[in-house]
Amino acid sequence: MKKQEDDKLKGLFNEMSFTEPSKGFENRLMQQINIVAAEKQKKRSLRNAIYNVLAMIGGVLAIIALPVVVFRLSGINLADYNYSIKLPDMQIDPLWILMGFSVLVLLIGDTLMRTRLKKKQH
Amino acid sequence: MAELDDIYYINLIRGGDTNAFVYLVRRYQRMIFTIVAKIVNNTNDAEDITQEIFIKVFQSLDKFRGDAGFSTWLYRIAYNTAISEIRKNKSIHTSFEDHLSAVGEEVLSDAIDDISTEERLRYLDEVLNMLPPEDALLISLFYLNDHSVQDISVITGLGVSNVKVKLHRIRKFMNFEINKLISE
Repeated sequence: MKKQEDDKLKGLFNEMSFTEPSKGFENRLMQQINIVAAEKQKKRSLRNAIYNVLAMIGGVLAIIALPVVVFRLSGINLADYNYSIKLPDMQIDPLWILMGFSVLVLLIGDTLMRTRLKKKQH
Repeated sequence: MAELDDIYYINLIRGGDTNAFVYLVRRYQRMIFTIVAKIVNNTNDAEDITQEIFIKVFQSLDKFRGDAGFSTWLYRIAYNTAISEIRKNKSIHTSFEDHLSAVGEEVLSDAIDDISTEERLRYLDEVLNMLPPEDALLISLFYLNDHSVQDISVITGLGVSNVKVKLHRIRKFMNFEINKLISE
């Protein structure tokens, strides 16, 4: 009896026809989804940028801190050494340094431009 | 097979192919829209709620770990979103529990077979509207979508025995109300 009663109610539900959303629903929904995806991507890019900056700062700090720690642990005191970092003493032509620096700046600029162009094409 | 297809599209979406989401929309929109439309009785509101459900599914896709089937996971989001959206617009049925306790064990009358399908469906719609949204969704998922009690337990977050009790009480109430409508 109970089974029959359940089936009757189930039978009623089975008679129900499925309703379709309006024609433009799918397009409207996908537009919203694309907006949400763009926002998500923007947030992800910002988070990545923050991580990159933090990683760079960490790297620079490590470059400074590591020799300091190594020198301290090894008991080396730089003040005990007689050395000079003045260019005339090092016998390096400042022109070479300027040229090297210019090449480095050009390389960095080239890399940045290529990355931007690649992103635009994508 | 459907679950495997779902996983394939989920992986595409996670890989950045946002447009692959349309396949998941096409697979589930009919069922979700039908259930929501039965409860809110307004096509525009039902579309808004269905849209909200799919946006939440898209936003949470990274959290889907595959512990439960994708459809169960999707219906869980649908259930929670629909409940909160419907509650914003619909008054909560506080008297339902009192009313339910007054209803005895009742079997759906045989007279239901003598009335037209149109009339039967109208009665069903009316009675579904008398139920609180949670219960209307619960019974619709059980009968319309053929979910097992275990699946409904995962979807609603209720215990299995609690779901069974609720389904029993809802059926009792629906039988009583439909019989009442028939006799009127």
